Amino acid sequence: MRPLTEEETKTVFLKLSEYIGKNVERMINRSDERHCFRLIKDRCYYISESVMKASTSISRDSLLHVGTCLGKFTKSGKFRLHITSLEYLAQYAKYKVWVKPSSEMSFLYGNNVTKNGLARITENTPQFAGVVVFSMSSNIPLGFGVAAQSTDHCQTLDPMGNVVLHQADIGEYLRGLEEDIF
Amino acid sequence: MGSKKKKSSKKKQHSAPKEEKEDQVDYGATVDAFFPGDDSSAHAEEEDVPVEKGDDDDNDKQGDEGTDEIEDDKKNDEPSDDDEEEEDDDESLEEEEEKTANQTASSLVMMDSEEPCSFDLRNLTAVNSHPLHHESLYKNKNDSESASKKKKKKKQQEIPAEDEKLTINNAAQVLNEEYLLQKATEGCTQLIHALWQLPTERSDAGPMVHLPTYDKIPIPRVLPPPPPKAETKWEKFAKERGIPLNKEKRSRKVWDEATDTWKFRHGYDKANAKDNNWPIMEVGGTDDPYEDPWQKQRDAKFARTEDNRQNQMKNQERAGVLPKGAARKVLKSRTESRKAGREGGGNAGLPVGVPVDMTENKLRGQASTLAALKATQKSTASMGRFDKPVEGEPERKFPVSKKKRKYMAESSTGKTSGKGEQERAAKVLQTVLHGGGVETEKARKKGKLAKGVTAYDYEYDDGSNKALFQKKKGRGGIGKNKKMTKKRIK
Repeated sequence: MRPLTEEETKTVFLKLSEYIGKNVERMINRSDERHCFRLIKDRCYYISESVMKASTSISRDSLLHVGTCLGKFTKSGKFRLHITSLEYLAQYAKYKVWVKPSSEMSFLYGNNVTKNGLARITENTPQFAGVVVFSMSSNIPLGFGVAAQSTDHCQTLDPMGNVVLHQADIGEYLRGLEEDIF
Repeated sequence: MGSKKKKSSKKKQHSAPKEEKEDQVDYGATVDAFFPGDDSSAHAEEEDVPVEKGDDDDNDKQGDEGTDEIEDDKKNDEPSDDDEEEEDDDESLEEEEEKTANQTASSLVMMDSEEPCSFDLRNLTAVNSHPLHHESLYKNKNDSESASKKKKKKKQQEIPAEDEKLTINNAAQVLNEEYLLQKATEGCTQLIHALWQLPTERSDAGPMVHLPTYDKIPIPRVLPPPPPKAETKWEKFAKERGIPLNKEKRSRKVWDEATDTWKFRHGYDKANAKDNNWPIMEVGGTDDPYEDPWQKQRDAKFARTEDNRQNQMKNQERAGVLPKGAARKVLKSRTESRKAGREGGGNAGLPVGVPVDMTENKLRGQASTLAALKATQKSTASMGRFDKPVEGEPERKFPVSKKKRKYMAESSTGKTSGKGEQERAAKVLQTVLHGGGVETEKARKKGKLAKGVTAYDYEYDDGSNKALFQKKKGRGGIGKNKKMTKKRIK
């Protein structure tokens, strides 16, 4: 377990800022307890100071995970967000999308959100912006993705057109799609 | 000698109990034993040997004869014999002497009470493989004390003494050195007897014994023996046909007729070398006049060497040293390169050092060009680290050494370090938020951004040059000399 280097921190913040923008600052400066970012092998974790101090007493071999896993670094140095970071993304999300109950299941199975299933979308969402998907019936975050079209263009889309390109959803907890997420 | 014999017999009887002077024990070889004169006295000699042990003992004590005149090789080896033997015993020599006097030479080797040893005569070793007599090996400390005291303590010590025999480091139990010395003496005498059984010959130094050529106790090999060498084709053939191999028979040097000297058979400046490299070579009867004789010679030489090489390699293939087909491949490549060199043109015409892929009129391709670019970027003294990047050049990646990488402290123990991390993170965040996002990052890495956009690229003088406000010149100015801005003044 080690803290992130400058380069790595930059990459992580870049990625996070796509979804939550300036609110990354709120992740760094928290009111209740200071949190920090730590790296175990190639996964980035977001943990509170107390948890971090406690985890230093565990040997490296036996320490599997700490706190919240935000994502992992690929071999080429890029950062990939995992579904486990949804908690924070949903809290501080800049652009949100609400999905109709009828097409909730479709999204949870890993399909993209079509215009048919789109209930609500925040204004002025630029194209390819990071977007968090919520359920309409209960305001539960379902996952996140990338906006396929900007808000204006969504209105002129045909019903089968993609609105949100799927990246991660909470159904993955059951599907276990990627073996090395957990 | 005869008179001495009588003398000794008398003296022996007097000197029966002499346990104290074991260190003066003489194992038989003195000057007197080794002047045989007639062979008839050989038998007597053998008899004399054990007898004179006692003789010498007595003589030593009386100072009549010195055992200094040691002329037998074996005698010199005797002190080392003592070390080599396994057990020491303190049996009195006198017992032995008394008995041996009555015995013949052949039966003098061992006594009835003695344990027979096995010998490795080449290493001058006698091995007594009989188990030690445990009770006589250990003795109680109190044995040396007087009998009266013993009686008193007997009751006290009876019970613990038995238990103490089991423990080794117990103070009451002491190793009986006399028993060990006795055993050693036994072994030694037996060894000497055995040595005398070997064939002897006379020399200036006295009787010499031929030790056997084999080690009875062989010292084992550290490593396994080398595998037997595989037979070559010729060796196999010769064996079949009964042709002698002449491996060691050829002499290294041969008489050279031309220079009347001894020269080496093979190699540089060899004997009887056919010197054909004259500037003018005559055309023989059958030779083609238009043929190049020097080229012909060179070809012939090449052919001979190639044959030799081929045979060697094939033998190695058969032995398993080389993989199958190696010989054929090597020779084929050699002949091809020779042929190509002969013909000229193509790569053969290039000077050495030119990369081969440049020779044909092929275009390099992107991958190859990039690889070449990377190689050239690295080929400076500092491995391309401090070279100014050219406009449009992609970002250079330098290998990160695992050794020198320093991470910040894993756990921020104090308040200060935790804050430090927070501050650093905040700084990074600022650059991220105001930095333009992912696209500019990508563009920067690719080298698409025009140089001079960021402060990293320019050597830009914004008036805050250190030299302008530095109060002291030179090394005195280094340190916390900072520009006094309004903020700092407050």
